[in-house]
This record gives sequence, structure tokens and C-alpha cells, in this order.
Amino acid sequence: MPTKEDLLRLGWDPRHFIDRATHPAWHASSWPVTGRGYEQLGEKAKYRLPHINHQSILIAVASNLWEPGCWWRLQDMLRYTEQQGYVVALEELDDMSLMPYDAIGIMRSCGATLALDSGVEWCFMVDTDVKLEEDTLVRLLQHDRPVVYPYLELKDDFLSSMAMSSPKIVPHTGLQPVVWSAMSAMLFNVKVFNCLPPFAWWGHDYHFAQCLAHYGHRIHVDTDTIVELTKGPARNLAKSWDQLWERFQLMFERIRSADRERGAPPDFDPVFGDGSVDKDGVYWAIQQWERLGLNGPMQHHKKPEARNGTENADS
Amino acid sequence: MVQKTPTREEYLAAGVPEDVIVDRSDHPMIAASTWDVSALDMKAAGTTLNYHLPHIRPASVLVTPIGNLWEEGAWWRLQDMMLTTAVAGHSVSLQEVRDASIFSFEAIPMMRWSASMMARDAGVEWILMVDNDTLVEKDTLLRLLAHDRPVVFPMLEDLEQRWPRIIAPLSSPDVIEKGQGLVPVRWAAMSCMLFNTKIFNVLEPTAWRGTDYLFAQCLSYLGHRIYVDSDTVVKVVKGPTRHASKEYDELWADHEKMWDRLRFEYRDRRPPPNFNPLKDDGFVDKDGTYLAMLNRVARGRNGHWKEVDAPTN
Repeated sequence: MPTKEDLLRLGWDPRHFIDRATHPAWHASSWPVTGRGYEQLGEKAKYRLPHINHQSILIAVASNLWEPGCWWRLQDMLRYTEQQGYVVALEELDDMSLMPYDAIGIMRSCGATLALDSGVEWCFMVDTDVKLEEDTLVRLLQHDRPVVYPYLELKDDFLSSMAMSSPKIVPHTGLQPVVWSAMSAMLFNVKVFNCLPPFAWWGHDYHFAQCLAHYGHRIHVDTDTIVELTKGPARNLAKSWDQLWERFQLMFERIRSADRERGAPPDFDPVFGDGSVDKDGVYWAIQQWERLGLNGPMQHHKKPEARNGTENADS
Repeated sequence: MVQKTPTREEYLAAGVPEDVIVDRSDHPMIAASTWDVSALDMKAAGTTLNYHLPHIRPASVLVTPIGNLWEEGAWWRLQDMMLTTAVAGHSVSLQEVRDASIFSFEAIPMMRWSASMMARDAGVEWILMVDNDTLVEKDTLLRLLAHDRPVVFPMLEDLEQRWPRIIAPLSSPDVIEKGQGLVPVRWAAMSCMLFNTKIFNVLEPTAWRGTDYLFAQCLSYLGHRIYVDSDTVVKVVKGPTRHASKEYDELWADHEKMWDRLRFEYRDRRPPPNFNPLKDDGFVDKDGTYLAMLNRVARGRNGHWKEVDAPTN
């Protein structure tokens, strides 16, 4: 930076020196940023606009009907992500489906609106049949792109593995642009939601990608960040009429009555392992989430005493 | 890299029921999709077709100069850039945007907004907005297009250098070192900008009315970020205007000068300094205006340009 003397020699009018806070061209800019988010940005801070919660993420899960092994993996990913300096919130979205999956569009739209309104910078939407890895979210965040999905793998489903995106892509080929991709796990910069109408979420994978593209956004799949799905797409059209309705009834009962799969990792050691298991057998990767977790901000209408801590105080 | 599609036999071997194999055009899962895209456009779009959604003119570009008050050398450079881009297979259109300023530059936001609407309404895939004081290179547009990003600006080199760059930066962070590839920035001077036109489906008209920072903020609000291509450098004849650094009388004298220039000044549309009408591509019309085009076109062996004045040679 040149000194005042340097500038005077160059013919600069002294009135244009912005060397005091009372100067007409001086503007206050003070942001009480907390946590490690800004520090975590590193070089990216140079080009980012201000944010009060840099590197904060809302994980919005479409329902709570977890497939085996998916909940504890999500918990471990949360812990790892926080350990890297990110701030992570988790919200399971209410499933109001009468027919299975019919509310997914509403749930995702609800997740996007929640992310916009809650002041986070990123939103990771994930389904309950995704086996996340500890570093999945951190790897996706590092791209700093508006829309990035991990690569989806279906180990035992030949047909589905061929049709998770267009073009069909293969693992370990870096960040690949696609026309559309299955929506099982998606990382968004929440500003993307400023463009999207709620109806964008209501439809198939192609329709959603088309809505993104309409506003200049493209999906990229990180083929080096791989997550496994426990099952492939529903493919209702491949079922007979009776099979279809049998499945609908089964799902209806599961949604209403089945206890949720929130168990600990298979080899979890409650004494020496990280995390804890609560009285209902639910695994929490960080113990304080046990209190916050199932009675978080969006659940206060159900259990208000949990919000002010009186429930825990009593117990 | 793309996976291969399995054969019918492979599907059957994998237990896929025969009636769900989509291998005939009367199958319930077949949706017609026929787009009359020219071979030239497909060639220009190249591998981006693998992952782009359909477009009737993929890789087409509208070039919209903001005004027609060309600084010396800017017009012929733009013409040569368009020719190079067209020769590479792109459809390139040009539309100078009419200047409605009473006070110098005051209409620029409206002109840029107008250009954005024109691009959207005209069905092109890309738009390059360029100011009249920008000296583009032949390959500027091709280089920017190659990134296939929603918003890319070239790196600017201020020839005027009225003030030290550290006081008058052209972006934040200021991109001054060439050869760093694409550099994300908070904002950048808006002298030359390549956009995918889909951006304009959601950008508010008021985004154009303000500072470079405000414009970048409006893009950011939609999840879009400006990237400066530090490998693609264009010179600008003049640095930012910075009216606030002028005395009151100086400010109004400048406005008056621009008022007269806008109304009366002959536009500088001359050819390159050493232009040879017999050997070089392009021609000069009766008013001395240079139009770049291949010689075989300029000399009338192709009907495309016949409505323009006949070549003088």
C-alpha cells in the first residue's frame, strides 16, 4: 500500500485520502462472526461476500424412516464435519405422505425454505437410504460450487447403477457436469434457493435439474466422493398393479408404526467410543446432541419443556 | 468418462423383465425428442452437449457493445474477435445497444438490462457485453466460452493508469497476476462480461443499476459467482470514471463534453492500422467502416452478406 507521501507525489488530492473514519468514502463494516467458519474458509475468504455464519450447514433429511446403518453414519459425518471447523445443524423433515414418497417434493421444498430462513450458508439434503461416509460433506463443501452431489453407488443393483444420472458417469473421474442426477444426496449453497420456485421440487430428477438450469445452475457430481445407497429407485412402473398396492400398504404401515433405525455402529464401544447411546437405543455421535437432537427448534411444539431444558433438569 | 449402455442380453441376464427393457419406439417409456440443431452448432458445442439441456442453437453468442462511441482500435478488434469465433463454428450475432444517456453513462444500467432481455428473447445461449473502450483480442470470446461457466469476465489491463492500481482496483480481490486460471472474485469492473443467458431468467432489472459491487451482490444472491479468467487479458483504454474525485466544475465540463460527443462525434469504425483490402479478410465500406469477414464472403461469393454494402475491392 503506498504511503500518504507517495500519493502526494503522484498528484493525489489530499482530500481523497481515506485515512480516517469520518471520511465521506469510509463505510462501517463490522460483522461479529463467531465460531471457526471464517477461519475455516482460508483462501476462499478473499472472494466471499459477508456472512454471519460462514461455513454453516443445515442437513435436511427427507423423513426419519432410516434404513439400517444410515443414521449412525450421518451422526459420524456430523461429528467429523464439526471437527473440521464447520457448524452443522440437523433437521429431519416431517413426512406427510399418504402414498409413499408423495410428499418428498414438499419435504425438500420445506428444507430449502428452512435453510433460507435460518441463516445457514449451505444445505445438504439427504435421503434416509444413503450410507454417508465421515468425510462426505467436507469433501463436497471443498468444491465451493452452488450444486454438488456425491457419486451414488448401488452395489447389488445392476439396473439402477446404470441409471443414476445422465450422462452415466463412472467413479474416480473428478467433478463431472451432468444433465440430471438422482437426488439422494445434494449439497446446495442456499442462495440457489433464492431462484427456485417451490414447484421445482415437485417432479422427477430431470425436472429438478431443468429448473436449476433455467436459472443458470448446473449439477456437478463429485465422482471421487462416493456414497452407497441401500436400495435403488422405486420404479413403480415396473410393478404389477397388485405389487404396487401391496408395496404402498407396506410403506403406509412402516411410516405410521415402525420404530426408527437409530442404532449405534456395529462395533460401538459405549465406554471408550466417541458418542453415546441414549435410553431408547439412539446413537448420538456427540453427547450434547442427545439433548438437542430429537427435541430441536422445530420440535418445540411437541415438547416445549425440552426447549427450555426443564425436561433434562427433571431427569 | 461415460458408462456404456448394457445390451438387451445383459439386461435379461441380470433379471430385468423383458417388458421394461426400452428398446423400441412404441414402448410406453419412449418420449420423442427431436431438435433440429445444425451440425455446425453441434460441433461448436462439442462435449458440452453430453451434459447440457437441449438448446436449438447451442454455443450461439450475442455480442452487445454498450453504446457505439468506440475508442480507437476497439471496433476493429471486436470485428476480428467475432470473425475468429465464427470461424471456430459459433453462431455470433452483434447488436450495439443504443445509448439514451443525457448525462454521460447514466443509461448504462438500462442498456445492459436491455441487452440481457434481448439475449433471452432472441434465443441465444450466451451473451458477451462489452464496453466501447475495451480492446478485445481475437480469441477473447473463444477462451471465455471454453470455461462453460455462468459468469466469466476476462482480466482487465487499465492502459490509462490514472491512479495506482492499489487505489483503483479493477476487482476484489484485485486480479493483477496473469496465468492463475479462473479466479473467483467478490466483484469486478464490468467492461467485458460473458454470461450464460439463463442467469437473466431470475436477475432483477435493478441489479444493473448501481456499482460493480451491487451487481456482484445481486449475482451472489442467486448463487452465482463472478470468475475472472487471468489467462485471458483484455486492455481497457480508460480506467474507471470516478466522478467523485472531480471538482464540481470539472464534473459538469466532462458531462458537457460527453453530451457533445454522444450527439455529434463520428464513430471510430476504422480497420486495423495495416489493413490490406486485397489480402486481408474483411472489407471497408464507403463510410470507412471495417467489417471483418472471410475474403470469400467479403467478395460476394456467398449470399449471406449481400445486404451490406458491396466490397470496394
